[in-house]
Amino acid sequence: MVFLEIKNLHVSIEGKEILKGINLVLEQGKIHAIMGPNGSGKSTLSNVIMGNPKYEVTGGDILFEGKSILGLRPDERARLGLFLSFQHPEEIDGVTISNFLRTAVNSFREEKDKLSVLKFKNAVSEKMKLLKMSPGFLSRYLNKGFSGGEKKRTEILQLLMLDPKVAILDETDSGLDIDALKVVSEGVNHYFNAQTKDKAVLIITHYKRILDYIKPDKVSIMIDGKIALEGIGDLVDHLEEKGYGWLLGENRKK
Amino acid sequence: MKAGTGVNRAEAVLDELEDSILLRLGTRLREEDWAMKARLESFRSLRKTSFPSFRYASGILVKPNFSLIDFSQLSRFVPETESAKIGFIGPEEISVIKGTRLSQIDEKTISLFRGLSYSEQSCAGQPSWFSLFNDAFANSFLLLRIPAGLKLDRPAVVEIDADHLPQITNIFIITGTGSKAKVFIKKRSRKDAEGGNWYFGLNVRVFAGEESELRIMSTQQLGLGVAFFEDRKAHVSKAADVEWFDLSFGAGYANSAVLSNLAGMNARTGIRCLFAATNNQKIDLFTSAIHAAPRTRSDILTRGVVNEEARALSRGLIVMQEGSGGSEGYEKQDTLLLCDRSEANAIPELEIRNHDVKCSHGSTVGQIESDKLFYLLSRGIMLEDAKKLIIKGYFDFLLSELSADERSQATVVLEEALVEV
Repeated sequence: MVFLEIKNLHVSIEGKEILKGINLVLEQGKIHAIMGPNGSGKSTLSNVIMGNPKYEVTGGDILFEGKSILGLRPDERARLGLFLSFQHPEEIDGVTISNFLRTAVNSFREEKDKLSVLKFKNAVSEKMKLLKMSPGFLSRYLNKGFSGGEKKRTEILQLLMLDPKVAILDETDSGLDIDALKVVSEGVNHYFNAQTKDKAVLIITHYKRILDYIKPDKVSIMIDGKIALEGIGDLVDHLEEKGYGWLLGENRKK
Repeated sequence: MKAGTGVNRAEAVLDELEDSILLRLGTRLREEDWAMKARLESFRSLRKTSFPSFRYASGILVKPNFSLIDFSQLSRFVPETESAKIGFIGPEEISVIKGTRLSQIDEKTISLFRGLSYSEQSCAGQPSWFSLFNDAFANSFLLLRIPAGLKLDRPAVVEIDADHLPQITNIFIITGTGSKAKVFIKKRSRKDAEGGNWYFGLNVRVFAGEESELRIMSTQQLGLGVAFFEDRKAHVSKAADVEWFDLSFGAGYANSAVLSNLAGMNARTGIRCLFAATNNQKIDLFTSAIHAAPRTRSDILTRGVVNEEARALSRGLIVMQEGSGGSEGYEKQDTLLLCDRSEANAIPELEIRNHDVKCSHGSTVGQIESDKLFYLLSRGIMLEDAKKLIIKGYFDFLLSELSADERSQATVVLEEALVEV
């Protein structure tokens, strides 16, 4: 089953075209990696899928389970089953992780099924153990004063609690040391390998190292707002060896 | 007030106010001579004071619609029943006098407050008109006296249900030497008190004795039909500490002034004001500390959110008088606009007449950052809920200073207010 289908997507910001005709298909049960050099439009793509109003879609379409989501607000997209782990998560002063996350979890639920404070704490503490986070974390303000690693763990905690159909991970590996990378990757694999096997992951990264832990089924290389090359896992090794330089300016498809 | 300055009906009515109206009120109330004299003194000062223009050094005008307030029905200012006006629940050690006549409080106590200087001339002169009006025409009184040395943990709770409008209340609080107390003033009215601009005036006067500590928490949840004029002043004696903590969410128009006069060495004050305004609400907030003695400290923080066509003006003033050497003062006013149609302005001012002081100020007027909003929305949180989370976070900065019990009460009031915002 196709979860996400991106058709000839053109996107601009402040009149400048960033994405220049992206085509991409993400199927249920698959992990798709998007790699590419800085400024190639990877983060723009993730933001546009999630509905960031800063970007203007000038052409093409984004389908989720066969239906266009371009007219939907970010919260509506989230409730359909899309999740974006941000490269630079926002700091929100005065809002505790506990309050924020319970509000988020309950926004997916009917009034009668909303989680009480106690039920929420039970549910979240289990996920926090998995991510090696201390319970005191819940009372901290969202991302305020967090280290890079703490921010990324918090993103994955949200992923585990919201349990979406599709997780888009935008440079989740950046700012992580080896131990933190391992914990975060285990969190993502825990989400993906859940009993139901009904998830999909779009993982955006510069580097190979996270893909040693989270194995992609497919790899797309993005250069200058286009998919320049697509392949499978061994393409990652090839890139590690040769860098992106040999692809710049070519924009060709294997 | 000068004849002919009234450009609308209400101002014209106010122009015609005469001693005889006040005397009739006094007779109905059976005020004693000294009390009647005190009321007349306020009234005559009022007649010499220019009617407020509500124009400050600000780009926005926040003015009540006086044409809807019926000042001519002064007889209605006399309440029918005493008990309906002010409720009091508190520790029995606090001495309480409650009533509808100034005479119920003794002359000596009232003269103590009348003899205090609050350096009103420094306060742009504007709020004093309504302060004097509230003194002259008050129809309900409360005096709280906290005995010297008494330290109370349980707060005294004052409830004013302004449903029997118009209401004009004077509250006097005296803290004895070395005492410690909390007073919680709740101002409410029916939500549906709309359709006529009722006048609600409140003067609060505090005399904080040496080395006493007083914390006054105050919630304002008046209906949109209420025009609220509040003037609060504290005389803070040597080494005394007065803290004001306000949550102001109601009233169609709210003109709220709070001033601490740091009269004794080492006196301290903290002023915290949280406000939220939506629809066509108008808020005119004035916060001030006068440093009149050496080594005094003030700390003023206001935070508000403004939505829809609401307007909010937050004015702050710290005065360092000649004798304030070694004092420190700080004021900060922050406002968050939730809508393109909302208007707000913050005017922090300092008057420094002594060079051996530290004093600083700042203000911000901003909007919710779109990236923060997108982040919350991307987690499935709906727009209104996302805004409320951000607003609660914005206020948390001040709410985190409260005790657990105070905070839970403040949170209830805030949650109720956010339903409207």
